[in-house]
Amino acid sequence: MQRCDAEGVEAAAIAALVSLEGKRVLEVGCGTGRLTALAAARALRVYAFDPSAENVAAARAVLTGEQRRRVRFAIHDAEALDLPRERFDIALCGWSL
Amino acid sequence: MHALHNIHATLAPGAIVVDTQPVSARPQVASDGVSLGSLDMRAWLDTIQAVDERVAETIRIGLYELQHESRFAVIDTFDDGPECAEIVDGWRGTRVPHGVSTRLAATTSQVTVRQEIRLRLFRREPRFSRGEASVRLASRRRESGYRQPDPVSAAPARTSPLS
Repeated sequence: MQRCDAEGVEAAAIAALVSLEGKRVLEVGCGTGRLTALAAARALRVYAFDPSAENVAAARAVLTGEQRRRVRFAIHDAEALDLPRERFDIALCGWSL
Repeated sequence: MHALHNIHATLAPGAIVVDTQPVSARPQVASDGVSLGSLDMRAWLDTIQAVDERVAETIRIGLYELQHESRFAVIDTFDDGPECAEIVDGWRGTRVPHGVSTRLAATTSQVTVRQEIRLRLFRREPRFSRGEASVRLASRRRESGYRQPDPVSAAPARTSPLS
């Protein structure tokens, strides 16, 4: 089984520079959830999207029940991002721009 | 329109965009501390260059400001060589050179791929650029049915001071 960045170097590097505590986080292209858990553990709420339903299911599966309550998942690409009533403090783009 | 334009519209003023991308042209593949060679990700770097050009454009028109850039390495681990070959072969812009492919096929122990990652932080600028503001204004006017007044018919009728 592939383990991406098992030591969590990427998450640690981000956390050292940006505080996600209590923030409204937009996760662009969440993939299989490599950074979703980082955001879900700290943020007030997270909107995570990815064009692949399979990826979104995998990202949801890596979260604890408590983390899942703070994350809203959606299946679409960035071109279809349209949230006129919402504002975010952080956009996480992990390998996705 | 690039994703960063859509993202900009959803961010609060002063919000931060965190961007990470793998930027190794030749990530090292190893097993038990022994190098098996490197992947060829030069095609991927062409993609990154195209992304960078679009990001630079959003900075130029005032949507974002670069706040930070740094690099670090991450290691992906695979159970064995064949698994690594199968997964890496599906990575966009990535070629597994023949020699590496042969060595991976014969490797039954854990395999690692070391990639350099670029981390950038962008700050969302509080104001729209002049160009985007005018595009948004035109869009709102279209939605509300607003019609630009004709400059001639909209001018006040001239009247003679003697009449």
